[in-house]
Amino acid sequence: MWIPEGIVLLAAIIILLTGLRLKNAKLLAGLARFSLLLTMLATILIKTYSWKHHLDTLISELWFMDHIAFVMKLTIEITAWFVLGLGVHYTQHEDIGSGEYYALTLFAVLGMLIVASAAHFMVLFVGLELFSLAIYALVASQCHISIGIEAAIKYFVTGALASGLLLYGISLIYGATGQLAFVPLMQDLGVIANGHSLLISFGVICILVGVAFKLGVAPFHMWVPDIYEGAPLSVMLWIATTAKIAAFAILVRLLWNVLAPLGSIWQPLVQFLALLSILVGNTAAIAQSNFQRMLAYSSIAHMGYLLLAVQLNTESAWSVALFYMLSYVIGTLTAVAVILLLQHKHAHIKQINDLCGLHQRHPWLAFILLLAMFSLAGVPPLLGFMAKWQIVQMLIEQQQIGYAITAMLLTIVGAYYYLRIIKVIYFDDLQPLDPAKPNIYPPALLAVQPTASIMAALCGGSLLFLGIFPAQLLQFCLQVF
Amino acid sequence: MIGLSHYLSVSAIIFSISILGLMINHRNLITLLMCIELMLLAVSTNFIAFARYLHQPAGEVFVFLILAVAAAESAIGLAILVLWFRQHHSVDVEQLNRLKG
Amino acid sequence: MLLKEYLPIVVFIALGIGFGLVPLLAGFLIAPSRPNKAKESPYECGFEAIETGRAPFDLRFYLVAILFILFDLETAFLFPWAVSLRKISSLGFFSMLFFLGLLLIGFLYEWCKGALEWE
Repeated sequence: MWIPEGIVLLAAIIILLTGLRLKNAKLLAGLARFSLLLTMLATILIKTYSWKHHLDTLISELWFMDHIAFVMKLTIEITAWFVLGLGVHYTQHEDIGSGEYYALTLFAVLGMLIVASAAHFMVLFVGLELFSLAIYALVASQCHISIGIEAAIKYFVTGALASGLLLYGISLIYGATGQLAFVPLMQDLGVIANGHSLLISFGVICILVGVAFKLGVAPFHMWVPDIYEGAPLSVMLWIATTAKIAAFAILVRLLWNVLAPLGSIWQPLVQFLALLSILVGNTAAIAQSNFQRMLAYSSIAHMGYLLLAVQLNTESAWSVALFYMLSYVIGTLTAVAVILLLQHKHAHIKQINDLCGLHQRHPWLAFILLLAMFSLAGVPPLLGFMAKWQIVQMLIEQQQIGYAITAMLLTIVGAYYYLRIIKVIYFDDLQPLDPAKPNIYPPALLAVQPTASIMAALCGGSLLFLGIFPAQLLQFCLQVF
Repeated sequence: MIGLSHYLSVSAIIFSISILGLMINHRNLITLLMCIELMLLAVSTNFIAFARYLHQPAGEVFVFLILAVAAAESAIGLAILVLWFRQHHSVDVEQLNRLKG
Repeated sequence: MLLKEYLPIVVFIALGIGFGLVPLLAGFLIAPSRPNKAKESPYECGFEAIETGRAPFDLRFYLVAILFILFDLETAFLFPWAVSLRKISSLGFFSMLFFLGLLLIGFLYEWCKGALEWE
C-alpha cells in the first residue's frame, strides 16, 4: 500500500547521500526522474490490484486508497517528472542542481503523496509540512541571490501563518466533535450540520483561510507574485504546478471529505474568494511587465475560476474543478517550459519585452508559447477553453447566472494580457540585448535540449489535442468523485 | 475553578498576539520566527485542553507532532535567516523590499 | 475551599516578585548617585571604547542551534514510546526503529557535510 511513498523516500535518501560525493547534476536528475517513473508504475499497479480484489478504500481510518488519491498521486508524479525534466539544464546552468536540490524535490513529492492519501488530520498535517518545508528550502537554493532569499523569507512566513491558521481551525473542530479521522468526523458533522456551534463555524473559517493562503487566492495572495519572481525559474515552475495540485488535494480532502455537510458555512465564503481572485488576478496582471509576475497573477485568477466550481459542492462540480486544475497545470507547464528553454547565458528572460520577435528566431517555440497563452486565456479550441466552458455551463445549470456572466466578462479582461504576449512574440521586432553587441538577442536557446524540447512540444500538443477531444478526460474526471 | 474555557481564552489571546505580531512587526526577523512559534504553541494549548476535556489521548499525540514540526520549521526559518544575514549583515524586515507586491 | 489550595502558590508568587523587586528598588532609592565623565564612559581596559558592546553573534552558533533543535525535539518521541513499549506490540517497536534510522541518515548527512566542525 505504501510502495509509491517508499520508493520516493528511498530515492530521496540515496540521492541525498550520493550527492555528497557525486557532483554530476545530470546523473542525479536522471536518478530522481527514474524513481518518479517507478513510483508512477507502482501507483498504477497498486490501484489496479486493489480494484480487482475490491480492497477497502480506507486503511485503519488513516489512509485513503480511493479514486481521488489515485488521480492526485498520478498527476503529482507526472507533473513532478515533467518539472524535473524541463529544469535539468537550467539547474545545471544556475549551479543549483546539487544532491540536496533533488533530494528536497523528492521529499516534497513524498509530502504531496501523503497529503493526497490523508484520511486523518495528523497525516494531512505531516504531509503538508513535509512538502511546504522542502519548498521553502528550494526557493532559497540560489543562496547568493538576494531576491531569492527574500522570496524564501516571505514564503516561509506566509506558509507558517497558513499552517498555523489551519491547525487552529482543526483544533476547534476537534474540540467540538472529538474526532480527528475524516470518515467518522464527516458522519458526526452530518448529524449536527443544522445545529452547529460557534466553535465549529469559527473552525471552518480558520481552515478555509489556511487553505486559501496555500492555494494563493485573493485576498490572501500577496505572497504569490513575489515568490514567483524571486524563486529560481525551475522552482517557480514547481510552485506553480505540482504544489498547486497538492494544495488542491488538501482542498478536496478538507472540503469534500470532511466539511461537505457544513457547506452552508463555507460556500458563501468560497464564492467571495473566487470572485475576488478572478477580479484581482485578471486586473493586476495587465499592469505587469515581468513575465513571472504576470504568470503569478494569472495563477491567482485561475484559482478563482477553480473555486467558482468548488463552491457548488456537488460531485460533478468537483469533477469539473479537477478538470480545470489539469488544464491550468498543463497550460502553465507549457508556458514556463518555453521560457526555461530560452534562458540565455548572458541574459535571463525576465521581462515580457525580452520575448520580442521570438517568432523570427524560434518559430516552433513561439508557436508552443502561443498555444499555452491561448489555452490559459480560454480561446477555443484549446483545453483551457473547454475547462472554462464546463465551469460556466455548471454555473448556469445551478441557476448562478450572475456568477457565470461575471466570470465570462472578467475572462475577456484577462484575455488582454495573454494576447499582449502573443503580440510581442509575433509582431514586435527583435531588440538586441546590448547596443554594443548587436548580434546577441535575448530569446536564445540555453543549449540544444532535445528531451526538454520534446517535453515542451508534448505539453503544447496535449493542450491542442485535449481541447479538441476533451470527452475522454472529462469522463475520467467525472468518475473520480 | 479553571475550566476549559479559560484555557481556550488563553490560547485564543496568545494566537491573536502572534498573528498581530506577524502583521505589524516591522523590525526584526527573529521576532517573526518567535511569533510563528507562539502561534503553534497556542494551537498546542488548545489541543491539550480539548484532549483533557474529552479524555482522549489523540489530541496529546497531535501536540507531539506539532512540536516536532515546529522544530523543523524554526530550523528552516533560522537557516534562511542566516543566508539573509550573510548578505545584508542585519535582520531588518525593512530591507525586504526588493520584490514589490 | 478550592481557593485555599491555591494560596501557597499565590504566596510563592508574591514572595518571588518581592525578592526580585525589593533589592532593585532599594538600590535605586538608597544608593548615592553622583555621575561624572569617567563613570559614564564604557570601560575597556583603560582605552576608549572601540566598538559597541552589541556585536552580533557568530553565525556558527546559529548553525549549531539549528542542528540542536532538530535532534533534540525528535528525541521527544522516544519518551511516550518507551513508556508504552509493552502495549504497542512489535509494530510499534519497529516503526520507532525505522524513525531512528531516518534520523541516523540525517545525522550522517550533516556529519559528512561538515556541519559539525567548528572551524
